[in-house]
Amino acid sequence: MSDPPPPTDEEDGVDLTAAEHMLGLLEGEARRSAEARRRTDPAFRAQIEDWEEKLAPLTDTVDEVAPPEGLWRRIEQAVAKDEPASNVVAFPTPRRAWDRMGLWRSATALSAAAAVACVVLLVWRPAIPPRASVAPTMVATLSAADGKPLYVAVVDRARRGVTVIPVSGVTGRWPELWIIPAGGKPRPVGMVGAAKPRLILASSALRTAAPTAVLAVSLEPPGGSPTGAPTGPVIATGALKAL
Amino acid sequence: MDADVQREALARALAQTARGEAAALKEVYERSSAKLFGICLRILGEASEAEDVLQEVYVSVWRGAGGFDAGRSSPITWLAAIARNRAIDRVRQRRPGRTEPLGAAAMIADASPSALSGLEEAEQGRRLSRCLEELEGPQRGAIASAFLDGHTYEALARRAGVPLGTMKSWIRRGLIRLRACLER
Repeated sequence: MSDPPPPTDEEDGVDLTAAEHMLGLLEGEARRSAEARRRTDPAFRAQIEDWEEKLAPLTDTVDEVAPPEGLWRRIEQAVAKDEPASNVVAFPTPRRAWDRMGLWRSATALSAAAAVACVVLLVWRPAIPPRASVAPTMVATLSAADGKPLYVAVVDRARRGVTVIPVSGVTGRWPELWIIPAGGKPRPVGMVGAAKPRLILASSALRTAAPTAVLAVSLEPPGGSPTGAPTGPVIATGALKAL
Repeated sequence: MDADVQREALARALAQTARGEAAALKEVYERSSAKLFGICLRILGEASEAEDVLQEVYVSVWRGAGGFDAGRSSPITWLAAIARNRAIDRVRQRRPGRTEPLGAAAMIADASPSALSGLEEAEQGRRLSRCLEELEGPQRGAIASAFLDGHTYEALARRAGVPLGTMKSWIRRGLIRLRACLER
């Protein structure tokens, strides 16, 4: 497709791939490989963000155009389908749960995180009578290929959402959680934190989840996978187990 | 409204969106959609596609607002990056040979500093404008067009009527000088 550019002294040995990728100059295999590098190489990602900030004022030269009236309604409907309105509740300040960490100081990082998840769930909606629901609470420890645990996930028995707690540092900025039903394809659940616990409200895939399903986290481009299927490397997986 | 106040309000709305507050997503939309729609339109050149991409952008913001880190980037830059990325992905999925919007040709032809006069409003913009002015016309035009129109090296070379290698060299040398000037 392309001849290499004529080398000049000025350009010699300078790696501008981050800038070229940010600008959208690359295409085909070059764009795909830069995108893969963005997901796995934090230094490269930081360079992209740096160029983005440097050139950001250029967007001020683009005329603002109000989108058509109906567009917000379309977005609202798409969001509602993604996460039904009845399930849209505010996360009850994770800080409060973390403040209770003292209680669990003697526990390992992993069991402390699981305990925090339980506290979060209790604080979240104590009004739900435990016996009213037949579905069990489900937990999963999501581990890397080398067995190192990266996330603990807890699905409450009313299937309102999944609390995902990072237990060791994840370098990717856009980790996305997937649920894989037994014998099925991965379905998106939502974006998870790299360092902070996060509650993701239930999607239809999560509400019908059985203890046979597997959870997985992959690294995706900003905003999550554009295709609805994982596009980046899977960094952790774990099976859901009924408590 | 003052720029800092705007920035803070948008950052706050993004944080609330990350906690699942649908009303906050609406505020993010109201504060940013005209800018993001302008960016998508510029890259895609077609309203219906720009609307589809804008919808994707806000749905992904809803899912991924927790990825915004106020300590690392400005909220509008973060949002604009998502919009640019999605719009570029959409352009790349088009059939080859399809006609492209006309905006880029105008940008290449009119690479004078005055074409970038909108930059003068904020301090960061004034500095970028000063540094762009230090570049040669073709370098400046090509970099601005790449950023604003999302064109590949190939497309930029075709539009400017120069060999691919020349276009790469313009942009790469321009980027090196621009970085040196901005970090001075």
